[in-house]
Amino acid sequence: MPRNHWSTQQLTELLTAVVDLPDRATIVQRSLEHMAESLECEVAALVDDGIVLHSLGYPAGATPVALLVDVAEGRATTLECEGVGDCTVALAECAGVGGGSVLLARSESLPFVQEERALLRGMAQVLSLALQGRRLVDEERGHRRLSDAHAADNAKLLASLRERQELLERLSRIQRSISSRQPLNDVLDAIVAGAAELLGEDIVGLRLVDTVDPRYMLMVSSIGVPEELALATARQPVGQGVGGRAIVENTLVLTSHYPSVEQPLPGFAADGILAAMACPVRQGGEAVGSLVVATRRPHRTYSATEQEALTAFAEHVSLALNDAQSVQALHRAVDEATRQSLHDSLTGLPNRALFLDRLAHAGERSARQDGAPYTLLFIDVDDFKVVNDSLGHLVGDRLLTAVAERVQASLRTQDTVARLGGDEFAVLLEDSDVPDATAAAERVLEALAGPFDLPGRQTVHVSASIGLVTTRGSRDQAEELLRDADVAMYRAKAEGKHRYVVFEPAMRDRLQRRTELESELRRAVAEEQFTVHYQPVLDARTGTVMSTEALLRWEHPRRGLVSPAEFVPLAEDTGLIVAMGRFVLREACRQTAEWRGSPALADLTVSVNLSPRQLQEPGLLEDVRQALADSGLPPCALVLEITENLLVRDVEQAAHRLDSLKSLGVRLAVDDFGTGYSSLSYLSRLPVDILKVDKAFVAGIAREESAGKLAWAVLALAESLGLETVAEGVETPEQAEALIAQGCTRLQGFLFSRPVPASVLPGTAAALRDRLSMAASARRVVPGMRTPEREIALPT
Amino acid sequence: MTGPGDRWTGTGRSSTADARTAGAEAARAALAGRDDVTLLVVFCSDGYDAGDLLAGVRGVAGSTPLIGCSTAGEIAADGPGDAGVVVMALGGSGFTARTAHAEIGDGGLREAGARVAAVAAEVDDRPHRVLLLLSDGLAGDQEQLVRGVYGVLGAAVPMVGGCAGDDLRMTRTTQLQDDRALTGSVVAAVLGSDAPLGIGVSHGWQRVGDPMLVTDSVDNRVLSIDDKPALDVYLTRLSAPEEAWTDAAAFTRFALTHPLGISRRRGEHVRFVAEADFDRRELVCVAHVPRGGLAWFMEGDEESVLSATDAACSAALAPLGGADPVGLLAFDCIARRGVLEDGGLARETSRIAANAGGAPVAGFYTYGEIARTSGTSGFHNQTLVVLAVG
Repeated sequence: MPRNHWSTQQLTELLTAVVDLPDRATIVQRSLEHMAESLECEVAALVDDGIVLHSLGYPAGATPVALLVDVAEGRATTLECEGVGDCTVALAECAGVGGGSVLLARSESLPFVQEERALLRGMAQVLSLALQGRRLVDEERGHRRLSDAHAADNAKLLASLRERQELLERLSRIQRSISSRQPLNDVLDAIVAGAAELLGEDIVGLRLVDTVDPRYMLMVSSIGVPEELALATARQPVGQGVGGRAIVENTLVLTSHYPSVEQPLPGFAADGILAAMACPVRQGGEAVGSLVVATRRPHRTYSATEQEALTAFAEHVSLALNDAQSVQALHRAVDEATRQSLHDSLTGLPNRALFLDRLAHAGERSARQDGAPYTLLFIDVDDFKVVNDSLGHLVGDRLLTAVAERVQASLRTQDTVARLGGDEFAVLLEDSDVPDATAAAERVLEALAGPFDLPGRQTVHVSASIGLVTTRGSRDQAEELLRDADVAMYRAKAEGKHRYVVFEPAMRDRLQRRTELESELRRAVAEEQFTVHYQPVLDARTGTVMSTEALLRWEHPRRGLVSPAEFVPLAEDTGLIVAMGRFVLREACRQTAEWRGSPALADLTVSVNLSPRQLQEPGLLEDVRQALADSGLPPCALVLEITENLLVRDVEQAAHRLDSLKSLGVRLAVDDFGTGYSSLSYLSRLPVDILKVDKAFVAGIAREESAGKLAWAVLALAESLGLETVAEGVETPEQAEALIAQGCTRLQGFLFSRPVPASVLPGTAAALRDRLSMAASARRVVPGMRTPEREIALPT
Repeated sequence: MTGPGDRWTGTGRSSTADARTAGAEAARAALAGRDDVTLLVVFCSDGYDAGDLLAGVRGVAGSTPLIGCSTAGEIAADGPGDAGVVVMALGGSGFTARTAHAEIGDGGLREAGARVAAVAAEVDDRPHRVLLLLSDGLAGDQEQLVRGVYGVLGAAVPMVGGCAGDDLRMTRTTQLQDDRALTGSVVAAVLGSDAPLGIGVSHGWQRVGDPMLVTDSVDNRVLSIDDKPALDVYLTRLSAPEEAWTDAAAFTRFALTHPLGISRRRGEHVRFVAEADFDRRELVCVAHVPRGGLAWFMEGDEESVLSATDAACSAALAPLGGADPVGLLAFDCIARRGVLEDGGLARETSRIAANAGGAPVAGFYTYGEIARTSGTSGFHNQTLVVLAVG
């Protein structure tokens, strides 16, 4: 932070704190406390003529008076203080108590810096002024008590007192105007006006050395100087007049006969100026200007009090100048911080915040210009992550910088290119319709097509996907426009990357639907809008319902039953599938246990699907254990189904998870078997009990297509591994007959029953049994039956 | 030459509704049958009749020197509490203690501070001393209390303590000293010990956004920031919730976790923004905010508040030179409670307890914290102050 500013603040605070205090003792006490606090010192003392007038930091009655006096008078340089140890000391003169000094001390581990010593001198001066003012009050009171005969002296004292008080108040106001950041010129004018009023002078002028040509000084503020004279003497050589001399000699200059000074300012003697006083204005000890007062009154002399007052005003000019510099520095720092906060540190391009701001401005401008079109390109570097992960962040960063440069080079200078984060860039093209914009997008793709030579002799080829949206007029939300371009960019990715796609509202509608669906799905989970339906699985040998597959159904309050195909992928993406899966598991176990209580369904088992996400959940094992425990369902009556794709991804990990599940006593099935494009050998490494033949293969069976041949292969494999098989999606008697003929032990499909609500399942099972027995009694035996065990009568 | 005398602390707590019974239960647990107790420190809910509670404690502990106060919640190693009482007993030949009280009269907190500070001279000479201060949290500028004490004790004796609370009712707080239940007072105990006493201070708030200039302020009122109405700057730059723009209670809830940081020579001092002046668009803080100063808005979350907990404890334990503390006293700002929701308070007290390493812990949620170890100022806002008793 700007230190000078901090000093000004401390001085202002001190002045405000002491200006109205009732007596000298309190002024001294509060001043010392304030100084100690400002400079974080433990010890403070005011010492005058061998006497410690006040101190703090030592226990009452234990002040080391002699040591403090020695330090104040320069005979000692360090102090010791209980609770602090050895201390370092700073001293400043305090004229208000004669030849006194203010002493501050703190731990020697914190030596005073130059600026802190300067602040202490400033604060000691404030204390001095306050004490002098108070002394005059006290003297005036004393005199009044002694005798009214000294009325003349009293009047003089009172006048002097008023001056002091006015000086303090005026300085206080000036300090406030400095610290409240009024413009420098206003502050300087206030100082000049204050000096003019307080000293009752005809003319007051403030001259500062010209920073461009330091041989000259410029009048920056004045009062009482006739206009012509002011213009004529606005710029004068340094050294001219009493003000000039004060600068050169760097000291207070007085004259009671102006016409006889060595180099008078031209015109001022002729204007009748007789006496003048000038005090240098300093910065860092060097005179950079002077504050001058002058009068046309004859026989004017300047008292010590008046000299002191002018000095005080001149010092405030110094303060104001220092402070203005500090503020400039602060503003520069703030500007830099602002610049940094609006630009990407890697590429130097505008960041998202600045880009959105520019986008909003473009919208407003377009609205003003009768809807001139403008375009937003959303650029995403394809497969950047691969480069970053394989070649390291340094190469990744260099690639992004190079991409930024090429994108910029391929566009007009007035176009805004921004980095939104990661490998995402955005471009704003003003006054650009769709043909212009697509041409620009093509140029960007072309610019990125060439090889990038990166550190470590790496040459990388990248492409980009670009979403493009052109609009007119002011859009309410720049964010929305960005989102539309983002949607189009994703479409470009989905269509194979390295291309641009122009946004269409339908894309947004899809996104909108997805967003709505997600929020509805979340509500559905919270409000338990789900139910479980059960599809019977028949024993191919006996035709009885041996098992069911539990399937999640969403009963939307308005839309009715929603297809799992519509919501399951979204539930997977959002992780909601975990909660939903847990619900199905618990409900299926509970329901099946209940059914098993009736003699007709005493051996019923149930299969529950596990999603990839669920299988990765650390809590899955506990969920299964809990569902079994709560429902009382025997573990062997529960089958957990997983898709083949999931197993193919990481056989080792899958094997480990499945082993854990298996240890609970449940059975495991592989769903959609045959679609995983993998070697079948892994099957032997997994603790699987059941293979489910995918309905795509089942559909081809009866037609003797290649899919059908695959089904036979699966069944043969299962047989050789000693696994049970379940054929899914059996829709025709022909399929059923063919499957049975090939040794499939379980059948499931619409041919027998659709998935049904729990309340319907017992009836469905009974009906299937009845139809089965009717068919059996009619001797409608399935063609192709090879052994009596595999005989089955099919419902039609 | 004799070694350091033995030192022990014990804590007890009770949330029994009857004040006398609660006081007796907590004191009995703190003493655990020991009879060489030197000082009792009592933190109790404002809901108790302080006289009855004191009678309960005195019935168990006799005329042992005692200080205490009402709170905005109590702290012990086993967790935070409301509407209860926590008593810490310090005993053994290694401790010595005296207590004092002073009503905050016309001379204000400064004079009251000077009066209670005089008690420090009454204890026998021990290598380590600290002045425990408990003050009326509704009595004005507590920095004056610190100044008054400092004027008498100087740098020789550190100060630690907090301002009594009244469960945020903001009407009346109670201070306890020996047999007295007082209000509008300062109570103090000087604790002398053969072993080191460490004080740690940390706030855990972090600066938000760019620095600002306090362009106008009068005492504790901030009129303008960057030449704009202070309230508007505050609400806008912190993206305050809609209700905080118009509703005083909602504002205070928000402000509890968004104090103002004032630039000081070393780091920043935290100022709790107590209320909004919706008419004049000004901010009212609990302590002086200098005009012309640089300031930051600050915010905290559970993580930063809890890391400050560890920092304060570590700083307090450091002077013990690796020795285990025999007890910890914690003075935790009520405003920090605002950040520690949903079990965060319990996590904080368990962190303090973990730092104590099994030693007893007592403390309370304060209306302002006192800790002076260096320099002359020692009043804090929104801070955790910890005294580690070695």
